Amino acid sequence: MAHNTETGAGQGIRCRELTVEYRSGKKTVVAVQGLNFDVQPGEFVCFLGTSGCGKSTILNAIAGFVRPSAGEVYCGSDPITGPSPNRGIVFQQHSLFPWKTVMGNVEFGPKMKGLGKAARRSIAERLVKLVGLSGFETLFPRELSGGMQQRVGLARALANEPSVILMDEPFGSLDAQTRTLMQELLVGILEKTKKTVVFVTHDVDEAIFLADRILVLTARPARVKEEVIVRLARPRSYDIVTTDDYVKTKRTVLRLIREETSREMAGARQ
Amino acid sequence: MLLALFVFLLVWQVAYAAGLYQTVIVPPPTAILAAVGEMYASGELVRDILASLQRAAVGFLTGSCAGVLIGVFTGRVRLIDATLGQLIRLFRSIPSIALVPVAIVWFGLGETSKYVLVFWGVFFPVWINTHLGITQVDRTYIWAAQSLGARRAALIWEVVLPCAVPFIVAGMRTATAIAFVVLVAAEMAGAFGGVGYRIYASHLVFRVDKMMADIFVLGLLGGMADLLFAAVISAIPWHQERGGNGSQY
Repeated sequence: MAHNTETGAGQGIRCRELTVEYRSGKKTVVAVQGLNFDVQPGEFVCFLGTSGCGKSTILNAIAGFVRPSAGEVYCGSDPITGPSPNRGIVFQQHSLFPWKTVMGNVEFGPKMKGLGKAARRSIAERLVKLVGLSGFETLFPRELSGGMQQRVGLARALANEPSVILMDEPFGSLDAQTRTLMQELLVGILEKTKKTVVFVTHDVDEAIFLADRILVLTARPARVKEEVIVRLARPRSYDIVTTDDYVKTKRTVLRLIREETSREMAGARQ
Repeated sequence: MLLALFVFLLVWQVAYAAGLYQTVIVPPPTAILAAVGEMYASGELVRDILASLQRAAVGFLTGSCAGVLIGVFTGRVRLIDATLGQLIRLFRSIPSIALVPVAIVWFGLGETSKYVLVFWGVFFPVWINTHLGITQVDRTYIWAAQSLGARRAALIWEVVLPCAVPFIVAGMRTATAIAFVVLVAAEMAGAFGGVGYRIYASHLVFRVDKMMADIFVLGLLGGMADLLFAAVISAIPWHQERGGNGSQY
């Protein structure tokens, strides 16, 4: 498997007619139906959808955690058949190994790759520094705040130098201030690395601030309702949220999301 | 706790001194203490404790190891759970003490029958807790590990087992109590030494003071074993992680 260096471009993701069903009790729930999309190498794409629309399922299919009921997902030219260290993932919360320290968590990927102690340490030390947690190496996850835990999660996912990073509402459980700081940190790191990023969120501002392109999803089963290209210059800082371009994009996205939410609520009333 | 014990012993002693009850069948704390002193002086006490502890330790360690090992397999491999796991569930409903006579027939009055009985008693609680701990590992941990490149053995060793450790230790804590119950029953049924044996031997010569002295010794040993495990459990840095996801017991 090709391990891209941090300057190299990532691999793209291609999704064709993806359908994911799962059983919930006796019912079969269709989480995703006939989904098509492409993510270019090095592109930052946000999936934006209402709660429970199936957006996490899309990410789990790209990660290889769930198998498609129909259709295919490709990473580069290879069909995805299971999890791979080439596709790193940052979960919503509580995914750090509580029995390992910050260093132990970040070193996990390189350790699984079979790297020696010294090599693992130097990778982990660099990444812990990159996410601004130098001095916290020997702490356990439960001793960290939610924002710090997510920074460790990001460092852990980066440690294998994956070409694709998948993020499942990684800042969803953080308070608004911390979330903004984390978004800026993420933008700062990823603008340097040119990795392909697929980011799932229900936060409109987050999607616009981070993404090159937003795929707005329909209510369940998830399909791409519309694509919104975010034409905001990089590197981005939070000053852009008051620019005209930003406000225009936000108005468009809000309208789309509103349509889906009211459609879903109308459906629920029937 | 110590204060409560002290008050209890004091009331007892006063009741004895006041002549409130039949003194022969319930000797006062001072008489029990004297019996402890007598047994200690003769060397009997230390010999018995060491004999019992050795049996408990051998049975406990082997039973725990087997419980964890088999728990990993029944917890991870559905086929093994459907076969071996079901068989273990059947055997689990047999009270261990019921096996004492037959174990003596099969393994004799020596150490082997004691080891086997304690092993049997310890195995089930450790197995069921390990099994539960393994099947309840949060799938986020598994997914995280897989996406970082962990496969089979590494997944079990680095993720599944550490996740289950709080469950396993809780099972071992339950097992210590069971180990003592089974051991004492086995020693009373026939042995050549040990605290349980001594209680029975003292009974035959109507030395109630010695019986009660050994009963207190057993209580003390059991209490210390339990405290030890309580300390181990609270020392596990991840034992109270994430309320509500089942990583507590």
